[in-house]
Amino acid sequence: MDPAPAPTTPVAPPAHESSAAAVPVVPAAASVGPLCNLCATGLRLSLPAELLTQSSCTHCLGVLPHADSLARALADTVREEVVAYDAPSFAVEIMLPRALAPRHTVYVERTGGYIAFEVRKEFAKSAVPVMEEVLGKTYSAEGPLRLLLAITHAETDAPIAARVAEARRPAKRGRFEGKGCKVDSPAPSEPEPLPFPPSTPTTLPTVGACTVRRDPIRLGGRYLKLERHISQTLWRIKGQRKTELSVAECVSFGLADMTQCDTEIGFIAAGREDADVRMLGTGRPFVLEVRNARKVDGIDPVALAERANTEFAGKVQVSRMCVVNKDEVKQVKDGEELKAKEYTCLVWAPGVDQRKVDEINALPAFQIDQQTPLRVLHRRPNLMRPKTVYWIRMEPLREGGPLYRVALETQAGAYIKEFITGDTGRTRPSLSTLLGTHADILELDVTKVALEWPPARKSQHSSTA
Amino acid sequence: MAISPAIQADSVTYDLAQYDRLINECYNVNAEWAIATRYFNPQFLISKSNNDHNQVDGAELEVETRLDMMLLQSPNSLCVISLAPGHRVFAHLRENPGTTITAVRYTPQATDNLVRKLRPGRSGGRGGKRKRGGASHAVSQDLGTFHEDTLVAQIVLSDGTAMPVHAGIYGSLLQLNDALATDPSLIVKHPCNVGFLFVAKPLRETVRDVMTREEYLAARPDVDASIYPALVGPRDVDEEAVEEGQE
Repeated sequence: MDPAPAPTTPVAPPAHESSAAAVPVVPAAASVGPLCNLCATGLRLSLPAELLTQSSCTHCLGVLPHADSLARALADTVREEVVAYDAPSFAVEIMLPRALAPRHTVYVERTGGYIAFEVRKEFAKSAVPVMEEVLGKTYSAEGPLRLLLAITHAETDAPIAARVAEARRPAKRGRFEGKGCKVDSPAPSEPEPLPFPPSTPTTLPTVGACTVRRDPIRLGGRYLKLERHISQTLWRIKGQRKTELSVAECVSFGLADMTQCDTEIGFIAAGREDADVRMLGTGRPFVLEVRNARKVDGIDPVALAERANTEFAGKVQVSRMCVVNKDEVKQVKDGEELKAKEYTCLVWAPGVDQRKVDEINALPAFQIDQQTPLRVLHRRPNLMRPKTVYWIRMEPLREGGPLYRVALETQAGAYIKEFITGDTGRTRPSLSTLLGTHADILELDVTKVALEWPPARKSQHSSTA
Repeated sequence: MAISPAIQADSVTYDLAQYDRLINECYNVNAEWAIATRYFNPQFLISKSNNDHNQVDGAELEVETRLDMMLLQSPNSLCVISLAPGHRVFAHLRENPGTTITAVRYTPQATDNLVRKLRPGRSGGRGGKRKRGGASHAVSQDLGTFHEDTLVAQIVLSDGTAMPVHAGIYGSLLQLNDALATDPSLIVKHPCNVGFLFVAKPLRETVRDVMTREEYLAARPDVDASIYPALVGPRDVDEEAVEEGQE
């Protein structure tokens, strides 16, 4: 008779975990490859002694018997990087040789091996204490360090990679009906069935590519832009900087030095203003995302803010800088979409008498319809967006005009320049149509972004305003 | 952790003197034109005189068709196209007082092949910065691409005269002017503003045979150059318009 696949005698212990007390199955001897003691026990297979091995396990490829030395080797590989971080603990994500998964499947299906026996878990059990010892830090699922460690086994990795590549290549042989047939790789979760017993390895697994990361630290604050021709983030056209400074670079001044982090610091703000528009009032909320900071203990947001403010006095200023959490960042992104903004602008409009000015100032909140401005129509869909203007306040700068200071508050996302000029009729009504005359905007400033940020904290410190 | 103290910027002040020349030499001379030059680069197209021939006793008199067009080009390359000051409709209306513009009729090719139709947007936010949805896809070989001679519209006058409007550029048509349905005379009253004929995206980097303001005024001495002053003072520099390979 053929060696039957999984004998149906109910062997797998029902509710109880662990336990070598389960009755081991005795598979037909000829059909099992050599296994290490740990796998044999873990899979709950009883093996004749001559098939027990240390280094040629066909299930774990030697990962488990050599767990200690592998762990040590992995730790040594990342040690130098890890030690540079002032973090007390690390999490670990271990990637094992690709062959392990299909081999485990085949052992479970063909010999009734215990399905819940995971090489990864067993490896971690022995590896973590070793790594803690070598790295001098403790394990914690919360990090903040994250070690991505790979163990590879070239001998078995290669054929799998080849099989995957083959399955991806559209089969050009033969004729198919219909055009452009996409050859679906045969149910990707089921690679070609592995031969059983699986091949016996002749080499041991080795350390693969390892990476060390640290969870980002986030600093939040508000920035003011006091001068024009400063972009929000680094602005380059064809390799040339368009503005000498950018807000993102100014507010993160000295941060990379203080924290020894990656040079690319994330910058998120509650909306943005053009380079030639100032940001006044209490400023615009922003968040800096500091990646892979080596030194976090000395972070002093107040000192950072002071340094930046000294360096960029009169240009960009930072206010209320402090550490914020990942979930608080969402408030800033929502602020962009939801919160009203206040502006002040310099407007030229001829032939407007005081009566007209009074009329405008007395207007209750009204809606304007804005088609995508011409200046961005090349990149955005041609949408009609209704926006609310909550109030306008016009004030002649010289008696009788024609220059006015116009202050207004609008819904998030309104285009102010287009509201003033009308954008060849694409914004209706516009200040131009409301006044019944041509109008142009010469300068624009954002005076308020109505978002509470940084978020109020219930802390022992009485917060400064 | 301590939070750095709050800072507030004081109220806004302006240095008005820097705008005096702009106001005196541009806005006060021709506000509509001057404002347009702050946001667009004005360019002009003179039609070639192929079409009108008057045969007089065997001799052919070529009459210039004078279907001059103005292209107001945004820094992002999109063009707002309207009548140039030397377009013969202006002269025609002057010489035939009482004549009005009855209609501006867009051709089916124009109305059926707009690359981007207007859609309602949601009222919150700006709709994000998506590269998709921009007029950057290749529209090359299909009907949506207009050649310089493609007829886009006919201007119909009350005395029966009809004047054709050609695309003038090689590219795609983005938008027509709905306001002309109610008031076709906008094309002569406000050519630099709400009286445009259509919005197009050129598919070549330079428009064929386009002329600068100086070149056009030189070619049309009958147009009063003084009411089309060159811009003195800052052109609106818009970050989003110029953004190409942005960070």
